[in-house]
Amino acid sequence: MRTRVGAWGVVAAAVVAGLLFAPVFSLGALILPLAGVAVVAVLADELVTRKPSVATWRPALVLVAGLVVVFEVVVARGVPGLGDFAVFGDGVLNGWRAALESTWPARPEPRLVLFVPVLVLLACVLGLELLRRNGPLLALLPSAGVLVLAQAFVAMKGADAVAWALAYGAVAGLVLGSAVLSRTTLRATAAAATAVALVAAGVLLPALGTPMSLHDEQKPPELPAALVNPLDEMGGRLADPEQAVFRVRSQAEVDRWTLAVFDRFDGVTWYRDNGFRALGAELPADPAVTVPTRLAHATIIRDAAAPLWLPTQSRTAAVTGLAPAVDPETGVLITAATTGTYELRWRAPQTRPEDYASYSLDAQSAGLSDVPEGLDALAKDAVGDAGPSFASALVMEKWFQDNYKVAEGDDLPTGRAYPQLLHFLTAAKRGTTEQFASAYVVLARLRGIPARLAVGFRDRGAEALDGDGHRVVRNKDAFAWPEIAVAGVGWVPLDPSGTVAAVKQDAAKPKPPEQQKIPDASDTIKQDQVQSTTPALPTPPAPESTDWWLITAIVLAALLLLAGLAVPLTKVLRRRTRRRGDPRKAVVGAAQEVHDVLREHGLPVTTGMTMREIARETADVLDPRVGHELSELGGVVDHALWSGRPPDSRHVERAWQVVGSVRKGVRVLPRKVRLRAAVAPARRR
Amino acid sequence: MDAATNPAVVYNRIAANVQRVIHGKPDVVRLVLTALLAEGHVLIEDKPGLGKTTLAHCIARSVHGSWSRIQFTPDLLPSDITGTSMYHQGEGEFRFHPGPVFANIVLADEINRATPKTQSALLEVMAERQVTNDRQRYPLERPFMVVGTQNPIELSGTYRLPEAQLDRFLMRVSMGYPQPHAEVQVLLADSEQMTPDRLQSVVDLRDLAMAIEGVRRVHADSDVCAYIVQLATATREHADVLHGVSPRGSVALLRAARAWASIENRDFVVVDDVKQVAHAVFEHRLILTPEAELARRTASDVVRSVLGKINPVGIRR
Repeated sequence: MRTRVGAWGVVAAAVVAGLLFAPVFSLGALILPLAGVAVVAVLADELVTRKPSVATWRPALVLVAGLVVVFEVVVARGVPGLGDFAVFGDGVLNGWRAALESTWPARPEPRLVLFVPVLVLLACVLGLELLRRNGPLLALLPSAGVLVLAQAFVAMKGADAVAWALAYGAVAGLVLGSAVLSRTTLRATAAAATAVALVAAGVLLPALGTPMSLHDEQKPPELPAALVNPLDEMGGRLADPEQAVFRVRSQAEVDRWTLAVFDRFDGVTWYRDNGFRALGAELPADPAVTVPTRLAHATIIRDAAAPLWLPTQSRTAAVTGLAPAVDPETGVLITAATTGTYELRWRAPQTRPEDYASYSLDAQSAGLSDVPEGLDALAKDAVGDAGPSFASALVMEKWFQDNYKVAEGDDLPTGRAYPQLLHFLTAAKRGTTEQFASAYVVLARLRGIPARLAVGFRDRGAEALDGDGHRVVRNKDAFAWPEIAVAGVGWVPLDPSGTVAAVKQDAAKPKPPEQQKIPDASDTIKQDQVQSTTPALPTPPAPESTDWWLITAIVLAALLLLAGLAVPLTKVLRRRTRRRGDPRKAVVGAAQEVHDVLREHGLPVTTGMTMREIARETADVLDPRVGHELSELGGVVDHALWSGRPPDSRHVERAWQVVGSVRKGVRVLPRKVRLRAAVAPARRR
Repeated sequence: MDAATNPAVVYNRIAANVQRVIHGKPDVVRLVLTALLAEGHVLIEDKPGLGKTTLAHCIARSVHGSWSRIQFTPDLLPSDITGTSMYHQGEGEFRFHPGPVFANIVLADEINRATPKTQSALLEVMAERQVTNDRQRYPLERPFMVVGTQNPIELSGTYRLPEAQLDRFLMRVSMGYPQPHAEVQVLLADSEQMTPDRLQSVVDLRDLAMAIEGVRRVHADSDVCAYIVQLATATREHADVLHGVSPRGSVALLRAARAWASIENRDFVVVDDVKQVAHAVFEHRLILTPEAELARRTASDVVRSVLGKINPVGIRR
């Protein structure tokens, strides 16, 4: 029975370790496959226990049965097809890498999830073998390996870490407590306690600092070769203005759809470092956004030859229908598919437009280099001496709208390098939305306002409805705009070219939250005033750094207490179990109990000794009466086991009386020896 | 069972008689008499002058049956042991003349001095208790016991007993030097001319045969048999052993354990009985690896380690 409990513990430890991948896939995606692995491992082990003749085949049996179940539960889910085998092979070999390349929680796709149940299965196979061959401590190593790998993927923090550490510690304690350690010595106890403490520490310690994660080390996937900078496509789009690009069905009021965002400018072109990852099940909310948000959604139908950049919103939450890659910081989506319909969900901030003016700006900003003379003076002209604030950003937006015009017609200016921007700002005063946005971002950054450039399409709303109720977005809607970082809100789009405002005025519609932002320039307030009147914004909770030490200490103390109580409790259970059952078994149990008690007290008792031999060996140490009782127990055991006559309750009673005498007899031993015996783990037979 | 035929009584009578001459060696005497009650053969191996022949002689004298002594020498022929057919001119036919093995107790003194051919002549005698001559089989009188002696330190002019021959000895025992007080008694006994020839027989053949039959009826539980098999298996799997104990060795151990149990006046075998005779029954059946011999590890070490490892109350068949 103890062997069986130990095997269950080994399997449970592997499953608990596998469940630590929950932050990668979500708990729901892992429970069924891991439960399948656990059931198969336990059943296969049980079969081998009942049929020792197949013991040699146990690893192969557990492995094959486990792989079949994993294949069926995770991949095939019914009658398997040829493609399922390809997915299975790919998942086993490359699933771990695909999971690292994805945002988390990753999509619960077979190819991604597969490596976790396979790892747990291998841990079960190895653990069960090590349990039989090398004992419980080594049997926990494979599951500990899975645990460490899970922590390398994503280290648990906070209450989760405590809960999982306790869970793993509990099953590890089950394995150690129910199994035999080779020597009933303090060394064995120390090893067991160290193992539990290491496990707990291994899980808990990362919570004390910023843990390393393989997710952060993973390089982004290669971008599709056909991916073209949307800024470069704008000229071509305006040459064919009526061409539909995509259609939208949504109840959410949006004034624009973002294709790409750029935050680096080298004086010639805009770009952004590759930070794409496969989009998982859902992007977590940006903790920097502290204003209330609402989940909005839209169905987007991409017509033929749509761009590989998917129309999105800046706070993307999830995409269904396609499996795109996402830049988690900007929410920008790309895909290798040129057509397809998808549903986009995003988190729309629920803020009052008038509050924007009083928000402070976020400190993040990319610098500029080799700025030509004249631009700094223009920036100063635009906002005066006002410092970086949302109000001054609005002043600059109004300055553009008042002093510059959007170029229309066939003779459109081109370029976004410094010379073209300088020409646009100082001479032509007529430019494309791209030049408006580029110039705005450059001037804003020169004034310390954190800004970046976005490109996409405006949404004309009801004006663009087709017969099916979809809003049609065409090439002529392509435009670029600047966005500025507002603390607690995120990136807020502006409209220096007046492109969106013109559409809205035409449509006479109420302005959406993102766009209702333009207080009158006369309301401009200086930076110091803004700061003094900034309302208390919702802020993320402060890290509970001090509490963790306390919790960690409590958990470790609880584990130590548990380990301390586990040993005597296990021995009491062992004694009761041995005394139960038929008289023959109870007499054997008494003999085993005497063996174990004496060995735990460091007396020279070996496995092969009979009671009479034990009596002789311990004659110099124990009271002669105990030796006499041991010899008598030898007679009872002889009669019960080998006489051919069944023992009765009197034999059992006498045998256990001797156990009691032996337990009293060892009290003559030094206190140190008895203390060591008290904490020595229970032996298994 | 008649008291006179009780194995324990038979043992006590013979042991007391033998120990009038053999002093300070009750364990050895008990082992040899255990072999007698198990109707097995004994090889007594030790240095010269420790009383091997005397012990064998004492046991032979204690049983009221026929006994013979064969002094093994290099020129001894098989027919010198088993007997030969001679032509009787008056009767005009060949007649078989039994050799010295036709006795209840045969003392094969310095058995390793005879050639392997002559040693092999004992194989059939010891295993089947019969002699075959000119296609005629001549059964030996029961009970029949061969008590061999050999000197392990003299190599010149000796022939090591083949393994097949060794396997036919139920036990191999060593005399060992006596304790000082026992040696004093040996000296005194010599002064009193207390020799084996002065011993009277104390057990007749019928009682001995009945006692041997009583030993066969001692109950051996299947768990004890399983324990013995585990011991034998453990010797085969032991790292120091080239060839472990054969199934014949397992059978021998059980027979010896039965005899030991009957000497204890018990009608069933316990593990302690098995352990008491395990060294004597197993050691001469083990062939150690050259590495173990170079490391001066002995068959006794192997048997001791095997006995220490196998849990007697945890046998799973």
